[in-house]
This record gives sequence, structure tokens and C-alpha cells, in this order.
Amino acid sequence: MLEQLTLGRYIPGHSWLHRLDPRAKLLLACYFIVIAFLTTNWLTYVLMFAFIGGVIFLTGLSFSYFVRGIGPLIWLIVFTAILQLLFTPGGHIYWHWGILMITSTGIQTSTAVFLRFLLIITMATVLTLTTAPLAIADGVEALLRPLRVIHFPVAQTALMLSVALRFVPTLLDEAQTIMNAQRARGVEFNNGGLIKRLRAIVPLLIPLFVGAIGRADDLATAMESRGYQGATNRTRYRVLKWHNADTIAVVVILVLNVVLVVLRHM
Amino acid sequence: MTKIISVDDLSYQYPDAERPTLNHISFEVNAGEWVAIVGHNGSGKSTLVRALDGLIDFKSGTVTVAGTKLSPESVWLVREHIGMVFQNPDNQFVGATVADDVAFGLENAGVPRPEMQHRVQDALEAVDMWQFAEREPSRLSGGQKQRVALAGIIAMNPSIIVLDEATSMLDPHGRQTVLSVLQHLRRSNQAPTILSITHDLSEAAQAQRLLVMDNGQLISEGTPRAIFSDEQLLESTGLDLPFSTKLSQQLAKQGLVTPKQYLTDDELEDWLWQSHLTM
Repeated sequence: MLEQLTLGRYIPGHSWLHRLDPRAKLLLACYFIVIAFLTTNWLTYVLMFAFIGGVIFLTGLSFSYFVRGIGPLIWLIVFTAILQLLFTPGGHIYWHWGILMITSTGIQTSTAVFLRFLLIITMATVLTLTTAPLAIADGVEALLRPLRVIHFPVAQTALMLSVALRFVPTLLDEAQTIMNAQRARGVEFNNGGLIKRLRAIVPLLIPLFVGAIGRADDLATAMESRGYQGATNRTRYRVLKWHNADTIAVVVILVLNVVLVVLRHM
Repeated sequence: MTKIISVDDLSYQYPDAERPTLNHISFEVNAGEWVAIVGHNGSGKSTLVRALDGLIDFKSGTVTVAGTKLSPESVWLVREHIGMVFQNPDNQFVGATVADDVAFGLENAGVPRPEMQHRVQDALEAVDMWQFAEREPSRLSGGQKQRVALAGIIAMNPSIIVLDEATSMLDPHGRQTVLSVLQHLRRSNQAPTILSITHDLSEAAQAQRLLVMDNGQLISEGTPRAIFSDEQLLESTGLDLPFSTKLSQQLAKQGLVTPKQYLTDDELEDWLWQSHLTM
């Protein structure tokens, strides 16, 4: 069930985008989302979609990954767009019934909402498909580093994030094992009404929780025995390197921003 | 022979326990020796080795490791000498990838990065896992994870390696590879002292000395040969008999009496091979 989820999954590869520094990718993805709101006329949309098309091409991944990534969210986007369409007053009124109406402004805003959503989600999918969770954790840590000024425990947060990521597959496996073990004892997970289903979750949740506490205890002992005295005075095995490619990516997105601003007034 | 570990009159009781888990334990281990601690579940073996590393806060008795007396102040110093491998391969894997996990201890020790890189590579090559350096733990088998745990210890180059039932959750093949890595390590020029807790008698038989624990007490110690030939002791502590002893017993039932003392598999094979001629 969880393996089919494309959103947030990483596909190993060696494309130009895969090799970009995670810090650059995180920053640029966020920046792209911000400038996605600069789109106003069809020229800007054409530019943005051409850009994201180019980015998808650069990932070297099959287009179907992106379609599947957006698939589960398309209903949410369509729902939002329809609400925008039906409840926005202004401009020429084509049709109305009670408080519902379709106006020219409504058509414009709902199209804008739909297209911007599509841009943002595609970019987020590009980020997660081409960046290993570990690299994202490293990138987040590096970007949080300035917060040390206000005594935010950056190193501890980074360690927690990396341990949490490392245990996700382990705990998923354990959850699957417990589910099967409970099924063998006659627990039905996919039957009955809401209350019955919620009750069936208990024999899964409690062993999982107890198991996680046991694991945490073991892990803490193992870490202590290997000399972990806290986050201070540690060296780092993994370091992030900023390459020329990262600078190029930053320049490209800045150029995109300028062109967008110009096109917006045409 | 220099003593690397000495434990004197160590007692410990868990806060909510009825009886002490460790009851006046004293023993010594020589540098470079391989000592196995055996005893049934709940005999206090794990608590004993945790006490050596300062992982439990015992109130009475003294522990001295490599010349340092264990105290709240010296605990990190003592931990530098001891590398521990625990039972569950999943729960002691800290790093997100194999290389990260091996580097964890080195990071804690503040080892500079260039040196760290080659120590990680050397350690992973020593356990034959270098080709898996970038793998995540979820894609490794139990035996492979335990070899990575061992590599994490080898990279730190401690003088003492403690195995807390490190092979008990592995299949026979995984167990064999972990043991052969240890055997290989023993033949290196700076052979570490090994203290292993085990239920596996073939593993215990490889040790130079056995400590037998029962109910928190050290009830016997001696060479594997001496311990394994004491059938009464093995029976009273609930320990299993080694394969060669079981075979000797079965042979005795058939009227073929082997020499009384314990024989290793090889010795029994030799004896059988010679005895056939005289039958």
C-alpha cells in the first residue's frame, strides 16, 4: 500500500539534477514556488510550463512518475479550482443560480489556481524524486544552521531527523509484521464501520509503540557505548559540496525571475 | 600477561528487582584473551558486560579497564577502550547508510574527515562490506548489518571488543561470517581482547576461557574443555551439550565408549577414525 506512493519517493539516478547540491535544490524549489505567483498572463504560464518541462527532461526520469505523483492530488486541485470558479464575483456574469455564479473573473482566478498548483506540485515532485531523503535532511540542516544564533539545537534536530528517516522502513516492516500477526489471530483491519476499524488499529498501534520504545532504548545504549556525548565537538563524515552546477542553477532561476517580471507587464 | 579487565566484588540490583542481578562477581581478563560468558537467560550476563562499559550505575564493587578505574568521571575514557556489539542488528544501526554508521563513532571522537574516510574504508573492507558502503540498513540482511556493527567497532580500534549475544539473531551462515571476521581479527598484529556472551556452544568452544554464570553469580570458570567435560555443571545450569559430547553419549548407548574427557569435533573425528581399526 505504502510502496505505491510516488509523492515524496526518491528514484536513484545520475542526472544533472540528481547531482545538484541538496541545499541548492531546496532553496531553488522554494524560490520557484514563490515566483510561481508572479504568473499573470498566458505568456508567463507558457514560460513557466516550458521551464518545468525542461526541468523534468533534465531529471532523466520517465514522465509517468510525475503523472503518478500528481495523480492523488489532482482531485484536491480540481476541487479548489471549482470552488474558485463558482464563488468568485466580478466581471461579466455568464451564469448564476442563487449564490453560485460563473463570471469572467472566476474563470481567470480558477485557471490561475489550477495552473499554479500544478507548477508547485510538479516542482515539489522533482525535488523529492531526485533527492535522497538523507540528502534532504543534510540540506535542511545546512539551511537551519544560521538559527544557531538564537540557540536552536540544529545538530540535535539534524540527528533526530536522520535517525527518524533511517527507522521509517524498519518501522514499516514491523507494522506489516504486526498486522499479519494480528490477522493470523483473527483481527480484521479492512472490515466493518468506522468504530470497528478504529478498534482494530489498537492491536497494531500498541505493539508498534512499545516496540519503538524498546528500539529507542537499545539505540541510545548503542550510541552511548560508541562514544556519543551529545552534539558538541563532533566531526562530520558527510559534507555537502557546492559545485559550479549549483551556481548555474541559481543563475538560471534568477534569469527566469527577471524574464517573468518583464513578461508580466506585456 | 597483563590484566586488561579486572572486576572485583561487583554487585548490582535493578531498582524494581527482587534479587540482585549481579551478586559479588570477581574475575580478570588478560590482554588479548578471548573469553566467553555463558549461562541461561536472566543469569546476568548482559548486565555484567554493560557494567564494564559504565552503561549501568552499579553501587558496590570496582571495575578496572586498561588501568582505569571506572567512575562517573572516567566513563568516557573507559568507553574508548571498549567496543560493544549488541544483539539486535536493527536497533544499533545509527547511520542512514552503511558508511555513515561506521563513521558514527569516529565522528564522536572528533577524528578529522580525511582520516575518517580511509578508516571507514579499511574497516568495511575488513568485514567485506565495502561494496555496500552506500546502502541503507533496510536493504541489508541481519548478518550484513551485524558485520557493519563490527566494522563500526573495528574503525575505532578498541583494545577490547564485547559481543553481547551479537550472533544470536543471525542465521547459521551470518553467524559463521561474523565469527570468521573475529577469528581474522585475532590473527592481526594488534589482536583485541574479546569478551563474548553467547548461547551458541560452537562459538563458546572457540574461546580460550569460559565464565559460567547462574543467578547473578559466577559459578565456574575454565577452558572450554574443562567446562564441557563437566556434564553435571552443564546440566545444573541448563546449558546445552556440545555436538561432539552428544554424539559421544549416543555412541556410548550403542556400546562404543569414548574417552571420558570432552573431545572437540576434530578430536572425535580422529578418535573414531582410529578406533574403527581396533573394533
